[in-house]
Parts: sequence; C-alpha cells; structure tokens
Amino acid sequence: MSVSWEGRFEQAASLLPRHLRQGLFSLPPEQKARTEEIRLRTGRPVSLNIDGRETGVPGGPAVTEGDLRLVLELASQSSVHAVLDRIRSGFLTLPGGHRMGLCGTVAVRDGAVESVRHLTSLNIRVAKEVRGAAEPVLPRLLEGGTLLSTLIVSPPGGGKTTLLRDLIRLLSQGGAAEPMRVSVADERGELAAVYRGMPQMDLGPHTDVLDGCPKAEGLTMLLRGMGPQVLAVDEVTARGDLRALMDAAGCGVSLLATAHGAGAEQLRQRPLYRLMLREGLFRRLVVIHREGGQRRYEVEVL
Amino acid sequence: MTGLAGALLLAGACLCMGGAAAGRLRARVRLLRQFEGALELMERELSYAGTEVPELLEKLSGPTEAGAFFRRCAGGLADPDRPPLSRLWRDGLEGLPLGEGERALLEEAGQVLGRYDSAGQCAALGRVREELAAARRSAEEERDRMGRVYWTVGGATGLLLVILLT
Repeated sequence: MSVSWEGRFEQAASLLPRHLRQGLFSLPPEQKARTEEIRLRTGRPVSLNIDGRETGVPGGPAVTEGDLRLVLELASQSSVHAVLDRIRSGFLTLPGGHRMGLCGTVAVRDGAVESVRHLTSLNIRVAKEVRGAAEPVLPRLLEGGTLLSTLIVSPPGGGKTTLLRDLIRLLSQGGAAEPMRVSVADERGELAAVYRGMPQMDLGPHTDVLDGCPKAEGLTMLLRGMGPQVLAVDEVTARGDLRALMDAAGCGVSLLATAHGAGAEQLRQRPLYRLMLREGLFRRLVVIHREGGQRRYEVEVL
Repeated sequence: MTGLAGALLLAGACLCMGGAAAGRLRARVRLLRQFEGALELMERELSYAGTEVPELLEKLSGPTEAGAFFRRCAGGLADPDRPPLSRLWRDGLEGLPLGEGERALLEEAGQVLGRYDSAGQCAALGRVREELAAARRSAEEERDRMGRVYWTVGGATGLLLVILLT
C-alpha cells in the first residue's frame, strides 16, 4: 500500500519486455512519478501520458505485434482463458491495480465480442492511489453522520475512480464520521484491484469487495448478504444498474457511484442519468475539473 | 584366465547395450503415458475450473519425467524476462526420449496452451491426447517387438564374442 508513485510506474513498466522497459527505467524519478499511462502501438516507440499530454520515450525501439502479444501473455499469466471476459470488456487488471487496455482486430461471434486478435496497441494505466484526495470533499457529503448518496462525474481519465476509492477508504476507516460498512461492486476490478484474492488498493477496514461480478447482480448480492451502510459502484452505465441502485436506496443504504460526463447539465441530456437524477437517487453531485494538471472538486446539491 | 574375464566383460557390455536400447523403448512408452495423463488432467482443469496455466503446471509437476518437464515450464514462467510459454514448452521437450512425431504433437499442445478460450484449448488438447494415445500404442508394439530383439541381439553378440575370444 505504501508503494511510491515512482515505484508504481516501475511495477507497471515491468510487464514490458526488457528491450522496451530499459528506456523507461532510466527516466528521471520525477517523470516516472507523473506518468499516468504507458502506451504501446505497433511500429511506434513507447510513449507516456504525463499530465494528460503524450510524449515519446527518446531512443526507444519500435514496438512489434510480438511485443504486444508477449505483454498480454505476461499480463494474463499465460492464461487468456482466465481473463477473456475482461479482454472482451476492453481491459485487464494487473498486479498492483494497474490496468491494461487493448486494441486490435476484434473477433465477433453472434454479434458479441469474442476476443481481440492482431493486437495493435496497449495502454497500461498506472494505478494511482491518492490517499487524502477525498478529504476536502467528504465533509460536504455528510449530514448528521450519514453519507448523502453521491454521484461523481468527470470525463474519462478525470480521476473519478481515484476519488471514489479514497471516499470509500475514508468512510470505512471513519474520522469525519463513525466508521461505516461499505460494500463495493467492483465489476471491472478497478476500485480494489483484487489480484488473486488480495485487494491491491486500500479500501479501509470495514469494506467488502465483490470482484468481477456484473454490477446489477453484484449490488443485489451485496445488499442481501453483506448488510452495507454504503454501497459503492464505479461507472453506472446500464438500466439494470439503475434498478439495483434504486432498490438499494429504498432499503436506506447510501450510494456512492461514478459516471462519465462533464457536469449535471450534460448528464441530464442522457436518458439514463436524467431518470436517475429525476428519481432523486442522489443528493450530491461531485464534478471533477482538471486545471493545469490539478484536480478541483465542485460539489452540487441535487 | 584373463582372456576369459575379458570375453565375459565384453559379453556383459553387449547384453547391457541391448538392455539399454530396450530400456529406451520402455522409457518412451512410460513418458507418452505420463503426457497422456497430464493432458487429460489439463483438459479437466481447463474445462471445469478454468485453472490458470502457472497453477496447472504446478499441479502437473512431480517426480516423473513428464512432471520434471512441467516443473521446468512452471519455473520458466516465473522469470520476468521469459520468452513466450510456447517457446519454454518447446525447449523443455528437447532431450526427452520421444520420437519426432510425438515431439511435434506435444509442441502443438504448447502452441495452444493459455492462448485461447477454455473450450478451444480443450478441443486442441483432446486431439493431441488422442494422437498421442495412438503413438503410445504404436510405441508399445515397438517395445514388445524390438525390446526382445535388442535383448536377444545383445546377448547373442556377447556369446559370439565369448566363443571367438576363448
């Protein structure tokens, strides 16, 4: 849990074949710490996403499809069958909580994604556990020692998951309020980043994680089985998720969820979220703004 | 007396050579049977539990010759600078007492292991296992037929040398 950001970068980069990672390991520590993503594209040298801007690693060799296949093999522990559902959803969770997105030629069967073959690019997103990120926000989400159901909104890569993760940790460990039992439906394994049964991220001492289960079913299972005071879920995107959240809210459980979007107005233009907001499912909306590499949190009362 | 001792030693050596040749045939059959069993276990693990390959290789590791092969593969997977599993698998097969056809069959298994969905791997492993079983039956026939021949030739050569030298 106490791995430095530089250490996290090296952990993520260690999945690359030696000839590709050598250049990355010799980068200045400050650059390693600020790297958000390591991008590999066939025929191009490795590039890094630092503070939202992509820069090439100077002098690096061009990435081949064989390199990408080997990275996928290492990431999947030579067991594609064990991670095929994750591959179909577009990314894998890696040891340390990093995640790897895939692009290539998609094989489709009966209208559904079967697998990705002929890889063309990989994107390793370095896991960033920002302890304390939620401290300025949390007091505004509490009322009488209870969490008000909250939706966190930002464009992709804006820091929703990071904020949600820290909120879960703070609520679970207590401080601003009494410690709460938090149940997490972590369908994509991004919040706790469970790897071989062990959460790679600190979600606090009173948190139960249901990993890899579809959100709607997961929320219902957690509600029935774990007696949560708070239910947390990342990226609500389907009507089934909404129904499960409404059931939970009806049982007096506080909700914590995230959604892609730029703000309340944009959310209201989308039918699912319009319904969600109209039903009064959430009482607070946290919008994340990114300004010059810094994140600013705006809390709206709904 | 010395001549007789030398002749007897030569006869023993000939008999041993015949026995060693027959032993290689027995070892090949034994190894093929071990691989057949391992492939069957792999199919079961993949289809029912979706077991990850490192765990699968650990399960297959053991005191037998095939078990040592799987242990080498499992050890290779732990190296962060390793080549693909298919190459570890192919390299691991080198030096095992197998025929060229049997080696090629097992290399095919290494080409599919961990690279496709469970059903696809099971289908491929099942086909390899069936062909391996056929190869094993043929190796058993060869062992029964040629094993005796090697012993007889070894023994007869030794006896001939004893007669010639004494």
